Amino acid sequence: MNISLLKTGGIDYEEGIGRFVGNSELYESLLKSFCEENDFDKAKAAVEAGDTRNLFELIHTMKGVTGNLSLTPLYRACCELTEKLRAEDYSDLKVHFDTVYKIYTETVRTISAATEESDL
Amino acid sequence: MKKRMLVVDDSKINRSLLVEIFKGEYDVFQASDGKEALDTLLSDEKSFSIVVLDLIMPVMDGYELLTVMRSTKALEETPVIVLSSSDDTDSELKALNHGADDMITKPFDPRIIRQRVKNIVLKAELAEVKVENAKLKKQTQDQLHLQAIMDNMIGGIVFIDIADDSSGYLLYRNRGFYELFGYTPEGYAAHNPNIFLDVYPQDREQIHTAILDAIENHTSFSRQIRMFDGNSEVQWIHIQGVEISYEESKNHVIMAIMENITEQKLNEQKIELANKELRYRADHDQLTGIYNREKFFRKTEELLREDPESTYVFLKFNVRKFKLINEIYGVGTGDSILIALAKYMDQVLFDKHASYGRIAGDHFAACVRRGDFNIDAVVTEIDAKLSEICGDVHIVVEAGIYVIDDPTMPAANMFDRASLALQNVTEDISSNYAYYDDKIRETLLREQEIIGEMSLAVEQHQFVIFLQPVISLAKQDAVSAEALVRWRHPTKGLISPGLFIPLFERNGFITKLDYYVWEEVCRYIKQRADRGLPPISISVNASRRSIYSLNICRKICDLCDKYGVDPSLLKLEITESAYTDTPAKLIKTTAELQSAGFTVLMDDFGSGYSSLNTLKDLPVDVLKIDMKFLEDFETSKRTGNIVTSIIRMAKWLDMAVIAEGVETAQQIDFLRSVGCDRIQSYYFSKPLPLDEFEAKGYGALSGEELRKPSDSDIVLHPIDFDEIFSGNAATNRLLNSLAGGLGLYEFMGSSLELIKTNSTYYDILGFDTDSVDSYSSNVHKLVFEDDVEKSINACRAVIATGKSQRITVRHYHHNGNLVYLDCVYNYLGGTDECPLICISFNDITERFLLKSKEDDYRAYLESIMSAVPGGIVLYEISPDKVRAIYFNDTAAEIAGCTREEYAELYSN
Repeated sequence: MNISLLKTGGIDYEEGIGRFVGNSELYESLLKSFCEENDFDKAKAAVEAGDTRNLFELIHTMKGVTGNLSLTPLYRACCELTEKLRAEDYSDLKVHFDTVYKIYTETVRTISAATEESDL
Repeated sequence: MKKRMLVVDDSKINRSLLVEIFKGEYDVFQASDGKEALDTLLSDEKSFSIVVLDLIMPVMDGYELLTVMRSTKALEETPVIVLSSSDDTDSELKALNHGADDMITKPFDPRIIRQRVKNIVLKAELAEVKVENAKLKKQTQDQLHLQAIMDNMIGGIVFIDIADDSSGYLLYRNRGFYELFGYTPEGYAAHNPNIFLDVYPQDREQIHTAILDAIENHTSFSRQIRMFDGNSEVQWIHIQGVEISYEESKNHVIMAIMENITEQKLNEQKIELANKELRYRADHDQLTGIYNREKFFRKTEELLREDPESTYVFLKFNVRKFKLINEIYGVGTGDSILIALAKYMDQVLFDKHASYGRIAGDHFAACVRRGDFNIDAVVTEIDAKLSEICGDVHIVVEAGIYVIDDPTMPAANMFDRASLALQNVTEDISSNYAYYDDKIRETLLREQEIIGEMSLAVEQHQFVIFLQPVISLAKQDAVSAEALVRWRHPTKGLISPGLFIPLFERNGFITKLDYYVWEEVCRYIKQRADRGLPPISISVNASRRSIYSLNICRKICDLCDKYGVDPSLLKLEITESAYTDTPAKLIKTTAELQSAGFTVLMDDFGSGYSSLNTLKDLPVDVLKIDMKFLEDFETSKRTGNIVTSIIRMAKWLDMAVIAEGVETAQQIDFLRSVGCDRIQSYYFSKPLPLDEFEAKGYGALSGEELRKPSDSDIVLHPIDFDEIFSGNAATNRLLNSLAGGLGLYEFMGSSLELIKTNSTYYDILGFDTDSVDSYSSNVHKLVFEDDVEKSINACRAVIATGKSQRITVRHYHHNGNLVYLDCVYNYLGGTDECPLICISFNDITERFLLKSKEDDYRAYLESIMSAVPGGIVLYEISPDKVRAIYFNDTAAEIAGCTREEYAELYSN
């Protein structure tokens, strides 16, 4: 995996490896699986459906996962949204979510790119 | 083995992360939601050391799972670490409130999270250990306390392991157990540990069953059983117990407490026994063991109630003349007859529809089905039984029978009816039994009538006094009279005393009647005195009941005082039968009456079962002999002898005699000839009303006391001395108290047959009753040959002249030596063929021998003196005179006078 690429994308690779007690293989495989298994699309549907409660739970989960994977930009975005939702502040929810979703899309792209260039 | 961890998170990534972090130290299991987690936890309880739990999950979230876990016993102690976000303090607090042990914020720092988990697990383990320790400690303490208590408790405590093979091994026994059974711990160790073997065999099953029941029903058991102690002695043990849980055994274990109750048990048994005995005694006759009166009556009534269909007969038995049997053969024989009767009833009636018992004395009763009963068979069988016991003595059992026509009648009344029937047997000895029938019923009714009227009859003076004179043969006039009572009934006329006296004797009214007669007689004696008639002594009857009633002497004395009657004029007649019942009372009463100045007569002497011993102890003043029992006495030699003997004996015992029941002049002649002067007889006069008695002039000469027969009155008749002497202790004593020897003989031809001797006789002659036997047919065989003729002559002389003869007879001693007897021969009487001679003698052998020696010596001395030259004179010198007590021929010659003159000269 192209570590520098990841770093450029804001992912704190060192912190992540440290959390996985040096098991880079597992970390990297989980980064890859994050791209396929996550709740952001479900969250998007919840926003569209106006299901704020479900949305909170999904974002809250994602917050933990992104934190643990040291996907720092996405984690921060999740944190902000979680607080907003916990405070039941639903103003500009879609705008706010779209921002989070955009960061998510970038994060996935970064991981994918880093994966593809792993041979390098 | 690794400890297990359960990670609960809906995020696979989070789970993988945690797995990665902890896989080195834990076996990590995963669950994606609370439900799955719970299933995992419950499927394998207590095996997770830690649960790492996300809070927000689908299906069942973390809070929910926490709540369930904390309320589930198996999971409540399992440590739970909750995953949360650092910014989420509300959630943290909420999770802690739900029972989470710690929080970890995401994202994790692996070092921190590991440390946290480690701490939590350790803490939890420590807590668990602590609790466990505390529990253990408490348990141990409790156990120690319990053990101490059990060890020191009085009484035995054991844990019994109840195995399927019905053995019971002791898992524990306290000190009290050893004490209870007298074991030492070492001694018990050698003992078979199966406690059931120590249980008394008969009690094993019941205690084992009781224990099994208690186990099955979860209850306690309590039993009193017998067990062997260390000395193999049986002890009564109260054992109670319950099942206890005892993990070390797969069997049921019983804790039992044992207490020795032997003493208490023995006491109980003693009391039980005593009660039993009391109950037995209350119901049974002590001598024979069959039912007593009360129980028999109850049993009879029960029997009749339970079997109303059958007809029953009620019998009363007794032994004829049982008192006489007791008297003659002793109470022991009497008792064995009673026991044999009871045994017979036991044998014959025990398993029949019957009841039986001893009522009193020789009275038995039974109630049997009429069909089971054959009176002749019963009488025959009883006779056979009793003759086994009494041998030649014929015992007769009599029965009164009442065929029960009213089964609801009290048994006591049935007994009365059977008794009435029996009374008829007693009066008529031709049959052994009698039935209660109409005749008896009539008698009963008549008696009831009499009973109804008797008190009024006394009040109205319907009872009147008749007098029968007692005639003196010598004076040809009445010397006294007997008062006899008659009932002059206003409608029925004169009622015979035979109809009411026996009844009054039975029901006790006789004492009233006695008193009534005494008073009437006293009144009459006073009247006579008032009318200037000469006083006459009158005898009255004192029945047995009167004698036993209180103060008879006092009452009579009071009557005499009241009417001013001199006690010498009132005589009391008692019957001999009263003596056999309670002699002491009769003896005492007689003595009291005599010392108060009354004369006491014994009525009907000879009609009952007379014993000469009675006379020895009961010193009555007059014997009234019923001559009817000595029928033909004037013609039968033997009977005549008896009459003569009685009269002579009465004389010796200082008693007067009145003969009753005399019927003919011949009899009166005979009585006169043997010295009986007083006759009370229909021959002279029947009992007369008072006016007739006076009109006949009886008692004109009276006032004179009855005197004893004097020697001059007596013309001796042949006497059978054995009739007098055998068995009469008083006479024997009299004879034996004589200083010298005494023999009574019959003189036949030239021989003297010895009939009777006293003890001195034997002392002097060295014989005893045995050795004298061969000579007794003719004692002349023992008389020194030269003296036989002299003895025969003396016998003849004494018979011919009636004057006593005194001679010295030499007689052989048993040892062969001769003894010298100074004998006095007396003629007692008897027939010409067979005169009776009494010889009394003293031993004078020594005196005789001494005298003859002295004579020899004197002769010898004299011859010497006479041959001496010169005169010899022996003087006795007293103050006033000198006397020659010896001089020889020469002395007389010298004095120039003859021996006679010399003796005359020197006599003073």
